[in-house]
Amino acid sequence: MNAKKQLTVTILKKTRKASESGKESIKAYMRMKKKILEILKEESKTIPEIAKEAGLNIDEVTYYLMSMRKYGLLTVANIDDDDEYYYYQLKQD
Amino acid sequence: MEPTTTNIEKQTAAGVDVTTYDALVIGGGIGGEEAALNLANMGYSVIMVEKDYSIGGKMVHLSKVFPTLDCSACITTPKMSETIRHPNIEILTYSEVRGIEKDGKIFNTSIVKKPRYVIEADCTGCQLCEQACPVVVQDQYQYDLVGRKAAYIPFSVAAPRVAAIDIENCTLCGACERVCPPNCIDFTMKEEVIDVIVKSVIIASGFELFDAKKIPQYGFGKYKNVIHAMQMERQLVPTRPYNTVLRPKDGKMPDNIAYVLCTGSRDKTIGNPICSQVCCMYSIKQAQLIMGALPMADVTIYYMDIRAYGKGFHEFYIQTKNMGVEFVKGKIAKIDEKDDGDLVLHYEDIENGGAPKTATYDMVVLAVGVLPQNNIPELFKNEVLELDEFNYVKQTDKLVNPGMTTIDGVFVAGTSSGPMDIPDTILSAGSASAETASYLRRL
Repeated sequence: MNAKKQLTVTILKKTRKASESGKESIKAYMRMKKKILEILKEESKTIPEIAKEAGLNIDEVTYYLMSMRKYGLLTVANIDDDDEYYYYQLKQD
Repeated sequence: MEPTTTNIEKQTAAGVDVTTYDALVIGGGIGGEEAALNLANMGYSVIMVEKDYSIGGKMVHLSKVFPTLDCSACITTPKMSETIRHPNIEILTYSEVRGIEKDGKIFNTSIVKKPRYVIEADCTGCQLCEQACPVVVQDQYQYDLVGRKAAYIPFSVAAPRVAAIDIENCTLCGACERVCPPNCIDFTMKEEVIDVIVKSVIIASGFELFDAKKIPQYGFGKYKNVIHAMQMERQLVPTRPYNTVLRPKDGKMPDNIAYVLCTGSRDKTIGNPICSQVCCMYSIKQAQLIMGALPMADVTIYYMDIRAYGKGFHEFYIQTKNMGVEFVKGKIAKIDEKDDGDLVLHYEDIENGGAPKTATYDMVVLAVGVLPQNNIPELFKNEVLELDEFNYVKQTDKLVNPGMTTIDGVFVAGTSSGPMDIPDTILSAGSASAETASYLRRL
């Protein structure tokens, strides 16, 4: 089964290059994912806390964190005392 | 479970002529579905061409409908399913009509089916390819608020529920192929040209949303907490991009939200002088839904006129006012962003002397209008499909035969003929299908 699968992508590779935008998006996602997972390893945090601790652009943290949540890497915990920001945590297995 | 064999394949196997159809329906939104189903239920054969990966149009992405607050997807998904399963309807998704030539009483039609790199009949929609794909790019079905993979199911209730490969962002790593249980990912797929003969055409291609970047003083695209109404619509559905309604800049739960009506409508400066018909009511609807999602939030709607013209609309508007939504008659001049992401609206307070004022909000929603699709006349190679003065398909006999166009045998349904809401679109599609059936009987 795998022989045929590999064959089709191999065939396309002969005439088409891998997408540069796709490669860049992988790098960006992996970089953000690594930082966010590292920061959330000990305890749940809000988006501003993550952005501040990692020195990252806050709207990028929101976008990637929500993407990680969508793909099941994170879950939502409680909201802060001011009812402003949710805490996010690593998904418990 | 969707059928694993397309109607074309079944009919070809049965020796049936699959190159001739009674009607071509361009567009698989609610108008196209309604028109196609009406004709199919009368026994006519229909081929539907949808440019997206799934039928359903814009309605399937809405939260609820006004003024009843019925779940939009709950209404439209049974119709999508009925359309896709109907034995008299053949659907080509991710396809576009390239050209239509009238030849006596028939139309020779050329359709391009673009490769989705997944064998539709074999895909089970298991999403293992999506899990394996390492690429994360902006999800157009969530209006860029969150990411999606390059191998993906377009959205949860897509019909057909079949994966697609976004080849423009694919790194050709092969991860999706390696995990696909039915072995249905096929990177050798090519664009396919399908020639069919149809006896009539229904244009139901819908509308385009106004691009809010064309009003730079509102800051859309620059200020992350300025969003457009479809982005708020997505935040209000169960399959929302975030866990609740949140600011895209920093994930803060907004305390006060402003709506800017007539963004891209009734505005000659951006080339769209007419009312979009739906923005007042969808904004009022969203205001009610926000009050449900965020009970502590204040919502203010800035308007030129509130046009609550339909059945139950005015009562819905009054109900919303009574719930505490504030309505301010005033045109927004510009929006500025503060360091903390809050937004300052500069507006003319018309009902209080017209003085320029400012107000600060956590989040601003631009109630973007609807625009016509401009490429429809180009499809007709030897006939002229005329447009009206606002670039919608011209209705030549608006009162008696509202589906009739300048080409005999070509009809128009829904927002291809002008801005309208969902019930009016369904009525319009009903009319277009009745006129098409009448035309077909006379052939």
